Amino acid sequence: MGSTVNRLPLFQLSSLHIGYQGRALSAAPVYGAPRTGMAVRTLWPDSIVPITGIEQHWYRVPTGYVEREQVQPMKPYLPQQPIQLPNTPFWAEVSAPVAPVRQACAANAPLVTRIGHGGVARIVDYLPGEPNGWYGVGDEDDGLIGWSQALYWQPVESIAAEPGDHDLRMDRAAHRLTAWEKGDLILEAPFSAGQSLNAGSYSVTEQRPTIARLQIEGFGKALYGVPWVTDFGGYALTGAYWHNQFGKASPGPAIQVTPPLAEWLYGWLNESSQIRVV
Amino acid sequence: MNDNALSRRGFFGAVANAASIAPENLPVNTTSIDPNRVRQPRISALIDADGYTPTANFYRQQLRHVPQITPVFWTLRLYGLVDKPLALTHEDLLAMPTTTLPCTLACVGSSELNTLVGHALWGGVPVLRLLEQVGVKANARYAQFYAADGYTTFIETDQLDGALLAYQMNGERLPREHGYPARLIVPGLYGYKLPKWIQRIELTNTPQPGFWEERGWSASGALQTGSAILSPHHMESVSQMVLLSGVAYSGECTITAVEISVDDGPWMPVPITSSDPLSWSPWQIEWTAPAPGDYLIKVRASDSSGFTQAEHPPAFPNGPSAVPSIVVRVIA
Repeated sequence: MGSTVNRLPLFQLSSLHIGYQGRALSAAPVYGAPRTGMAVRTLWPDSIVPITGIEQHWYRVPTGYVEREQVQPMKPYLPQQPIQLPNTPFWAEVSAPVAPVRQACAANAPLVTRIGHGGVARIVDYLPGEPNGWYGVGDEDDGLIGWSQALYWQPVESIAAEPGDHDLRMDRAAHRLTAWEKGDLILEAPFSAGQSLNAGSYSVTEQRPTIARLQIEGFGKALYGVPWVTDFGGYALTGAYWHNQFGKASPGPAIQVTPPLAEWLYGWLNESSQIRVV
Repeated sequence: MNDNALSRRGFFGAVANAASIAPENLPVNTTSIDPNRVRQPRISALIDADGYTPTANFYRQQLRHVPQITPVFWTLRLYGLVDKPLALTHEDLLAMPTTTLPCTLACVGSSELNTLVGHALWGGVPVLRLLEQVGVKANARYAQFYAADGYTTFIETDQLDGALLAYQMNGERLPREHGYPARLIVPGLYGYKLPKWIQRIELTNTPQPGFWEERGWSASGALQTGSAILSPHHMESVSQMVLLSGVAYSGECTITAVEISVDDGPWMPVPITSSDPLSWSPWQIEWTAPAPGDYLIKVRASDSSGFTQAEHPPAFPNGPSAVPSIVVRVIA
């Protein structure tokens, strides 16, 4: 069972979008008003944009409106200051909009993959250097996948999983999940399904901070650093940093939620939790 | 010629000497130039308010020395498969009506770290007008060019429709290092097909491979669609808000799109003004880095044929078309 989690308070989960930042997932057009024809500008892919409000399917940003599906809400990005030589291995999550992982410690080295904001990786090595060094991104066996600039990552604090009567319910038709604590509803959120789910009641079988590399049939390129994995009944519940289309089917692991929610569920679910799929 | 031009010539001369030979392109086997040591000019030095490259900053490449030609002793001979061979003096050439042609030139040896591209307003005589004077025979399929420095190349006569025998550059006399008294300008061809210091044009039905054709480079010399990042420089330290700028160019097509990618991410469209096949398309766009760090910046261009620059196509033998890239270091 998972034992490393950086708990996110519930009030942040419910208000994560407002007053926070977003990562443009692609070259996203910004409109003067929702549903108007002409874009007034285009957001750079992987740029940070302040989110000042929500209007149905749109985020309000300082220069207009952008479709919510084009932007991934993100925690405030404070680039890591010059760091002491860390003790490896350790877990870290992508705090920048994206963290390219390359074959060598150079920005123009061949690309291995790009792990989006909220992705998690096992850091197995560290190389000092300008501007503040490179992390060796590892796989489950601490083998080296590639190198990424350290300032794009933040180490993840470890706390114990929370005991208690915590159950999860998933509504396949509505693509919504609800979290129940001692019979009380404490959270409701959309999820995306990457594969069809069979109805039933399941127990948590395993939790992992990340899937280092995940190749899904029909998805195209492999996904790396898929964060906060809870396995149940042969399915995987994970965070998804590559889209913001929760609430409907989307390619990828079986159950996809935002990385902060996956992180919260990772710590909140425990061995006695029941996951009911209806 | 001003002092700046002299100093730049000296610079390029030093580069040429280091490479032993430096014609319109750099040979595939040239190894003695360290491209990292070649400093790119700022975009403001390459593009003036009218979109032209100031003559003093226009790239220069030649096979050997710059010939010192005295105009009164210069003649241009047109002969071979023609009805009336012609010997044209410098005065004869200048007496003909001047036609101007805006045209982008690119060296087949241009690279992402040593961009050899320029755009100028050329003035001279349409080659077709000269060919009309001599009467080209029906079986003449090629024009073979011989230059004063010993350089040779050939062009199919069909390609000479828009060609200019240029004796002016940006409204002034063609500088010696750019081919005085006359050089060839043909839109859509690399520089190695545009000889300088031309002395003879022979019409023939059997082309003689020139210096670079003999070494395997494309006989057609068709300019590949390309792009360049001119500012900032590779490995330059910049602030978080950066103005990225450069040019895109094509041969017979028009540039339809320019896109930028940061750290191998999705491509971002860059606004461009409409272009025509003869002219390059300058572009610029602001980018704000999310934080300090090293960033890989790439640019690619697409043209009206549907072609888009790819990552790693070989430059030999048809010329470079690969996506250029630089690394910038963003500092707080």
